[in-house]
Parts: sequence; structure tokens; C-alpha cells
Amino acid sequence: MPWFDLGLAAMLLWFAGHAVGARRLHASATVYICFGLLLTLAWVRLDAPDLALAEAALGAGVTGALLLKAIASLGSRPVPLLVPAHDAWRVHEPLGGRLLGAIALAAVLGVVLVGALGMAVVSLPGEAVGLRPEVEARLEASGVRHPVTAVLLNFRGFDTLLEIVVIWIAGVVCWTFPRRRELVLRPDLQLTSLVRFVDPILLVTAAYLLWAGSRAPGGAFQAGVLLGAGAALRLMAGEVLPKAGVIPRFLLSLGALVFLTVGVAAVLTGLPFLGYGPGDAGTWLLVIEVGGTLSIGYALMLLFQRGRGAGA
Amino acid sequence: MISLPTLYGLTGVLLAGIGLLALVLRAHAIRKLVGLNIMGSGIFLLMIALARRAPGGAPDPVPHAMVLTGIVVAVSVTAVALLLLHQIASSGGDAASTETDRPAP
Repeated sequence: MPWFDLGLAAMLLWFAGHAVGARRLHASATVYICFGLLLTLAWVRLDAPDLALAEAALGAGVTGALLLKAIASLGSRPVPLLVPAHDAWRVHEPLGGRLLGAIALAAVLGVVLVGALGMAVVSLPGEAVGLRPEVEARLEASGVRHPVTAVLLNFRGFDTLLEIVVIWIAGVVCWTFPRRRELVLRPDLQLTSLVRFVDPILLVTAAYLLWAGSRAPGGAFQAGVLLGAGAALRLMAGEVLPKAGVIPRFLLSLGALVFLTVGVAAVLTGLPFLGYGPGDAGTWLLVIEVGGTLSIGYALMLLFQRGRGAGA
Repeated sequence: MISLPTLYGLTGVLLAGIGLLALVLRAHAIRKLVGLNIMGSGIFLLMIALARRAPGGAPDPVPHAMVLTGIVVAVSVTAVALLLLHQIASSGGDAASTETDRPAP
């Protein structure tokens, strides 16, 4: 009887319910961070260390920090948007304000979703080969030795290219908003000292993860997220982002540009788009990963900063 | 005796249900966002639980790559949604509706 996993599953559900049901927004965000950390454990239990790395940094860390920052800055508006205690389970206005109707709708949707998916989960066979044999057969030729990295950057490289473009779009959207007075964080001596100690460790760990991604869990996304987290820490300790200019735009676009260039260069040499010649793949994947890491780190720093100091 | 894939698969489905309920029933935009994120996490958990059914120990790597992409995209969406919310708030709307026209005096 997998007691640990049963307990973990129960805690996941409990924390999720608490995150959406908490009275105060601040509690909601904090519990969501805890939920993210529990989910990291679930990824470890399911043999997904790459996901655990990404979830701990992104799902729990960055999302939680963004939520807390948003709640804090919304709450400081002249009209308080921290909805007071009567923000109970009430309906969004366009549904006509009929609470009973909304609950019925939600119940039907919920039952259909949970019921259909639950029945599917229970009725699926206990063993399924999936695509692992195909991946393992071509792993040698992919240029890396870690299956997930091979799928991410080589076999499903087009999806990853689009993902990097999505991150780029998020950064561009950030820059389209007008500059506004930002929440000013007074640098704290303890925080500044801590950041001075922790930041180099984060940088070195990010570089290690980037390099290790070719043969072990790691890779561009995990490394990029660490860079972004280090930048967010530095921002909280009082560092100011450089003003908009060529270099920030270049850094943000680097990942997408490099990926596209490699893909198009392949076409010019007669290979399919994003194809690689025999033996070349490893080098090109590393180049793509370096670009991706820098872009992801910069985009996260930008999103955390919310456009201050980088007005168009 | 319940297998790990089934256990986590059902947990993922229930999490998706919780997220959906929050998305429909809560009025405040940030709570809806949290609900959306939880719903996404539930679906990811379902996918990875199913990927672990591969015989012989090592899981199927393709869903892992897809969920990694999904986590990154979910964070980007959350960040942009919070930016938009901040912009709505600056223009005079409030977080429980998207009306930004000020009422006539």
C-alpha cells in the first residue's frame, strides 16, 4: 500500500482546495506556493526529475512570487482591490447573479470533467509502452544522452521553438504597457547580504544545469529559470534594471533568433527545417540551449519587474 | 492496492475539477488565475501519471517534454494575465469585473 503517495495525494487536494477557498488573497497565494512544492514531490515520485526542477522554480517560486507581488500592488491602490471578507463564493456578474444557477453549472461541468476523465484513467491498461522505444532507438543520433532533452530539443524541437516564442511574446507584452509608478522596495541589509552570497551560487548552478542537461535532468529551461530567479532576488534587493535599448531587446529575442537561425540554416544546407547533419546535432543543440537560457532568464526578470525602466 | 499511475491520475483529475470550480465560481480575477493554474497542474499530473505506465522502470519521455513546455507556458500566461490585471486596475476597473468606464457622476 503506497502510504506516502496516498498521503501526498491527499495533501495535494487539501492544499489545492485551500488555495481556491481561502478567505484572504494573500493566504491563497501562499498556500499555492506550498501546493507547488508538494507537486514537486509528486513529480519526483513519478520519475520526472526534469519536471521537479522546473516546478520548484517556476510553479512554486516564480508563480507564487508574481501572485504575491500582484496582490501587494493591487492592495496599495487608492480603491482597495483586496476584496474584503464578503468575497465568498459568489457569481461573476454576466451569469445573471443567480448563485444557484452558477453552482448548478459548475457542478455539471465538474461532474462531467471529473467523471469522464476519472473513468478514462481507471479503464486504461496498467502498462503502456508509449513512445519510449522509438526515443531510445534514436537517442544516439539526437546529439544528447538524456531522453527528455532529446525529445524537447530535437524530436519535438518545433514545439520548443514555439514555446520560446511564447516567452518572447510575454516579454514584448510587458514592454507595451506604459511605465507606471512601481512598488518601491527598500533594500534591506539582510536581504542584500543574502543575495550577495546566494547569487553567484545560482549562476554557477544554472551553468551546471545547462551543461548537465545533455546527459542528466537539466537543460535550458531549468537553467534559465534559475537565472531568472537570481535576477528576481537581485531586484528585490534593490538592483535597477537597465533602461530599454538594443541590449535588452537583443537578450530577450536571443533564444528565438538562435533557434530560428539554426532551423533556417539547416534548410539552406539541404536538410529539413530544424534538421541536423550526422554528428552535428550535439553542438547545435548546445548553441540553441545557451540562447534559450539567456532569453528565458531575461524574460522572467522582465516579467517580475513588470516593465519598469524599460518603457518603449 | 492501488498503482501509482492510477492514484496520481485520479488526483490530477480531481485537481482539475477543483480548478474548474474555482474558475467558474470565484469572482476575483486572481482567484480565477490560481484556479486556472491548479487546473493546469492537475492535467499535467494526469499526463505524467499515465506516462509512468511504461514497463521496465523508465517512463515515457514524450509527455515529460510536453508538460515541461506546458509549465513554462502556464507561467508566461499567468505573468501576462497579472500584467493585464494591473493595467485594468490602473485604468479604474476592479478585479471582480473588467469594466473600466467610470460611472457617470
